Amino acid sequence: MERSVPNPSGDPVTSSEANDETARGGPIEELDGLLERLALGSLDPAGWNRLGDLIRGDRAAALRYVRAAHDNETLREETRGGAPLQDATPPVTPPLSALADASANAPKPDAGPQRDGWSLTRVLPWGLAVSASFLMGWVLSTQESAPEPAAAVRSVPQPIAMVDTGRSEPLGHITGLTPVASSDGLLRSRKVRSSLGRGEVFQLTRGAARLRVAGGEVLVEGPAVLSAIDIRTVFVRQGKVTVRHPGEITIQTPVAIATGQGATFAVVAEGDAGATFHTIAGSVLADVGPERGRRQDNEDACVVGVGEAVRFAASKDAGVVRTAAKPPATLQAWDTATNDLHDYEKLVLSDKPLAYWPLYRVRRHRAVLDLTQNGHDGYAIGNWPTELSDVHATQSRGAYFDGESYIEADRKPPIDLRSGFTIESWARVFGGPEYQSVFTSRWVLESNTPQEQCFGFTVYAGANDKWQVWTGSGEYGENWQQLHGPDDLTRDRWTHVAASFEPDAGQEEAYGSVEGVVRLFVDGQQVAEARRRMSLEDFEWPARIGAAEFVPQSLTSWLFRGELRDVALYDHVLDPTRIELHSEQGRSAT
Amino acid sequence: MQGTGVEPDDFVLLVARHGPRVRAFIATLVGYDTDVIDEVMQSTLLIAWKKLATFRYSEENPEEELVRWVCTIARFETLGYLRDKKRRKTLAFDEQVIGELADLQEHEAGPLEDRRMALRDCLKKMQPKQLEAIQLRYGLGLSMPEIATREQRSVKAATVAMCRLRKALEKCIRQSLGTEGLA
Repeated sequence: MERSVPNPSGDPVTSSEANDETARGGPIEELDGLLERLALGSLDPAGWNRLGDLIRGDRAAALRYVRAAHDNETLREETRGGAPLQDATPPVTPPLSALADASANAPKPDAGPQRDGWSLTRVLPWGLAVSASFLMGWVLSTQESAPEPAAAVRSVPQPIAMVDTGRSEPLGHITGLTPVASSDGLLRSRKVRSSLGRGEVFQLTRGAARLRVAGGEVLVEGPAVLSAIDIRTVFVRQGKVTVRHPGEITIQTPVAIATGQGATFAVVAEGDAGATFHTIAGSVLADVGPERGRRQDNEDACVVGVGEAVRFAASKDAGVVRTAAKPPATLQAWDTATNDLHDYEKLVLSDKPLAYWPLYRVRRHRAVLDLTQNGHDGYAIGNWPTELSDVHATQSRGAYFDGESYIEADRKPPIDLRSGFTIESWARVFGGPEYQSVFTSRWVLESNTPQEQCFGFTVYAGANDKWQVWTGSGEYGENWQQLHGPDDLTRDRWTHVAASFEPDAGQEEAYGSVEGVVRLFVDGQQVAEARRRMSLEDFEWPARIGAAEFVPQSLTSWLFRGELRDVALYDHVLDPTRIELHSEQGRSAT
Repeated sequence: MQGTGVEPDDFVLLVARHGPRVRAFIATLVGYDTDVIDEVMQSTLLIAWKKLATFRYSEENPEEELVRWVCTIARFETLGYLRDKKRRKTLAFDEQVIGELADLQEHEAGPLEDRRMALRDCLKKMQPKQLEAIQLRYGLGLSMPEIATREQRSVKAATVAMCRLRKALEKCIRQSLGTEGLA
């Protein structure tokens, strides 16, 4: 649990710019010092007590404190989760002031879905696209070049080069993350489909990532630090990458560069120490970095043949030395990166879910990976821990939901009810009996009125202690259509629960709603089914794990208390034999 | 006196718009414990949601009235912590200070909102590197030693840099609000 402050140790704020209160006198200066420490997150309990004393009965002092606290909150809100600094105020229509003139009983202009295509998750300032400029300064020694071995280059002092970052111009995006890369490997929370701004540092400490840059694929193994700096240039400061590009792409390191033409090649960058290039297919031209100084005859450039590798090593005495090298072991295909997945995860993926959240190491400020790499990564909302034990420690799979927390997909997986769907999850119920949502993707209009309309679906551990699946027909005045399992659920036991909707044949062109059969499965066995009509009305309702209502996060209800794992949503009807297989093979996958 | 209420759908949207303001209000009363801030925020909005049918606005700005109504609920929710022995220690201030801070913000709601908008505009003018530092400190909630580690420099250097950023933002806010030169 996060406790942002106080920090008993405090920060050594000794600069005058940091308002060292000991160097000043008077209550105003003391107050400013405390507020500075508040801003820095280093105000300890004694400081808070003193702050209370200073603002008690002093309106001006209290106002200074209020301003500072509001500033902190605004900064937190505007940059939470790395959100871009865009206008986060949602379009509220109609403005409430307009309602002042309206009759309280006047009908709404349109009782149908009216969400104007915006989702609350969009207005919450997630994903600050901070474009970090960084130094790629390579300053080598000024020693004379050494004659041997191989090609040696005299290096000259170079100024530190600052990449012109522009304003986060996207040059690529993330197309794949391994579970450990998503949960622990990234410097900040990123998700599949996150863009890479020009000059933005992509730092991966562990795991693997797949990037799409300039139409090519870049596989990255942590630890690595890289950045797309041009439309066809990637700067790799540290780490192993494998590049596959149908056209031309250049990989630049602090020491050397390589340009591939329709090539697949690997790069091992060692910071200022050296770089190795290995050609796997196609044509690659390697050379000393342009800032390293070179002879006029450009004798350092070389073609790296298929299967060959060359290493450029920086030396204080000899500049940059090029030698033949042994091809390094690198990640050459993304499939290889997923070899470490759990067998159950591979089983689920083999059935091609639209979204699949294993729920591994869920915590605040971290995206919750959609393992399909389709980009439906979620966000942990509510009372999640800030940090977990080390990733190398033995971790049980799944996440504990404490009844005050849930996960919301960044964007709703786009299922089409005309082709049916299946939702499945492993659940271990601790709370209840009460409505505890395992998964929902739904919305209700004019709730509890004669004009009520229900859309979407929810899987519940119900108030009657039975598994339930609710669906919405969208019909005016019709509440949720419920389907209950016959038996009581078992607490504190991992249970596989799944639900599917299979539309009747011949409704591929259906409009408005679609009829079919809803089925409920518990531990791999079908326990209930019923004919249902589901509305095809679709808008930006959310997909949530562990909660139901679509209201602001603080109003979310029907929260789950217990453990959930391996939540998967399919845009097709999963065969009952596959659901049974998932139930059998997933039981031990904790 | 119009004496009318708010539709639940509108309430949802209005909370989305004004939630940060309500949370800031709660943060000033609670103090240091971000978990308590979150808890009070949640219970406040839950109560507001349940009592929404009882809310009636009467003046020209019903949106503002709604926010003030929610803040009043938040004030009493915070004070509720003082009556709980276990929770009392999670608050930074006593009942008198909490009351003074709540009253103050009721009177200063307009200028505080102006300041918030000015700060948001000022953030848009910052350089990416500066924004990254701000995000590490506030968005991710890292301490200065943690930020210093990530930036690979001393805590002192990182702290001084952060102080400079804050001062630059303050200057920008004052320029934006036309209060440059005032205390």
